[in-house]
Amino acid sequence: MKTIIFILSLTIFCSVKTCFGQSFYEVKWTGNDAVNYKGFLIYNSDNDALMRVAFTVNGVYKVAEYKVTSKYFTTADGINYYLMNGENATVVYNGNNQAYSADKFLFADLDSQHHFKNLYAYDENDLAKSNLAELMRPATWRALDPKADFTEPYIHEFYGTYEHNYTALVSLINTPKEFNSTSSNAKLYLVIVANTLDNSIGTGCEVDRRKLVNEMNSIARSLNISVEEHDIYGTDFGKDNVLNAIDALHPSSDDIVMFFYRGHGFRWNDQKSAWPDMSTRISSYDPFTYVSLDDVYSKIVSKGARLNLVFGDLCNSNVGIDKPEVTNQGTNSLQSNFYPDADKLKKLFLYSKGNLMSVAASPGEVSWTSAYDGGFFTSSFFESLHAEIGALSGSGSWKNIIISTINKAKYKSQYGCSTCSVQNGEYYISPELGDQ
Amino acid sequence: MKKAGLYFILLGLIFVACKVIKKDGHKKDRTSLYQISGTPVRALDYKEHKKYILDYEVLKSYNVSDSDVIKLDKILSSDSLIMTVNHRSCEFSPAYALKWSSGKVILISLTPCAKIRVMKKATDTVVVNDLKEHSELEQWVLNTASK
Repeated sequence: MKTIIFILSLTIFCSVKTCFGQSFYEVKWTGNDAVNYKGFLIYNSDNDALMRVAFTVNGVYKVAEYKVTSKYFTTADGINYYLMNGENATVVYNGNNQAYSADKFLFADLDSQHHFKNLYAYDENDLAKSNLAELMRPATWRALDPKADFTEPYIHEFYGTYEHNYTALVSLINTPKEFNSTSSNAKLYLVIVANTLDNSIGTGCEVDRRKLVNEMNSIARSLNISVEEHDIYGTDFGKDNVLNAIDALHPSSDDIVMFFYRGHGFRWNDQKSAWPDMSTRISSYDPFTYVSLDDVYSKIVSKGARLNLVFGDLCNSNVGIDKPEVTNQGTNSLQSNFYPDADKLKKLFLYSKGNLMSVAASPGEVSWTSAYDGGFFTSSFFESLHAEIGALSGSGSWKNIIISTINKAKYKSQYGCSTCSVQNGEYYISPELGDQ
Repeated sequence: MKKAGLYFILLGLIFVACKVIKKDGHKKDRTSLYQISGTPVRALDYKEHKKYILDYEVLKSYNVSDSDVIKLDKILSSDSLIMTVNHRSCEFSPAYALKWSSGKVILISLTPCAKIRVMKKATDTVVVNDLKEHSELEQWVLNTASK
């Protein structure tokens, strides 16, 4: 039916791939059957996107729906593509038992800035044909801003007024709920430790560090709570500064402590704990120093804050030796494409109580980071957080966020990177927080 | 007389060709494989009688046969050997070094933290990239070192 070529602007594609949260896109094309198609995509992450396609056949208006998963891949001759793969389509409006072949969108022509210039698409039927390239059709693509582009009639082109998504999408037309009416004395203690100078993963760590600073400060501003930030990176990265930052935390019983580590990690041959250790030296010429993530968790929890969150995006692979007996260890407002639900955000940060610890890799595994998008675990954390507090999905549950984070990071290592090993991640959540 | 002239010209050409071949033979870029310690040492802390490659102490050296060099060249010419976008979050601790007489050096760490540092000249900035798990290069190194 439809084989499509999209010609995209660089910035539009960038927003598809590198931005997170619930983003909205519109796509239009004319199929080989001369039917005009108009798609509306709700994009949460590479393995979580929903497309609705409206079209008219023989004077009958129809809407189809399918899920979309996406991944990068490289052909044997070294050409990079990004595929958005629609599957299991159904006609949800005026179907009359008519089948619909889910569309597949292929982004191509990667430039030096790691952005794709062109997009091609085809559907399940086209896959079986030998002249796939000839079936490709041009289309237009644009990112949607709910305040500027959404109207009730526009949303109604894709969703019935009786559907939850219709109500949720229409709610985004108006200014988001007022957050600043919150009267909480809670304070967010934010500790970010990132090995940004490393000559292998430093670039990815810096991507994540900036994202963490911006996002968490934005959330705090939205909730009208104060932030005490300990941002350890660059030449400050090191064991002493990590321990000093933790010692300096004095949270009250209503406060939140969030610790996020982005850097190298490892485990000892004879290590029993599932949690990895953080490598805290900048240069390999320096004496080897490390801090146990388990110890960080214990120290933070002992300070008695209401909500304690400890995350580690690091490897958990065996360093090849036993642990030595004695060591020489000597902004801005929320992003424009991020539409949080105030009640869910408050539930997560102001009303939740308990402890959570999670790391990117299970014992024996490595964790992966992209120079462009940051750590698979960290980027997945933001995607999951946004989905959980989005207007269209989620209930404001930390347990959902961490399970989703681990699943998304696993998906990225499994399908988003053809040469990566799978990372499974680990988490612990205290019963009281898990039940909320 | 004419034949003798041609004979001398032919001899002269053969002589020149032999010199060129001999000269090329001297230029051959010899390849060596070493096992190294995983932690670098600053030059000031070098110990006497120890050998170092890019500040890593050499623990053992291995013979590399001509057929191994041919295999190695093929492996290194592959476009898919090195991962430049995605990296493992584990510290680079090289186990082997490849050194060419031209000065080029490659440091390699093994699976599960398979990474590579390529240095063509002393002024190159330090860049560490990832290798595929159990890559052909890693297999080559382990095979050559086990001979």
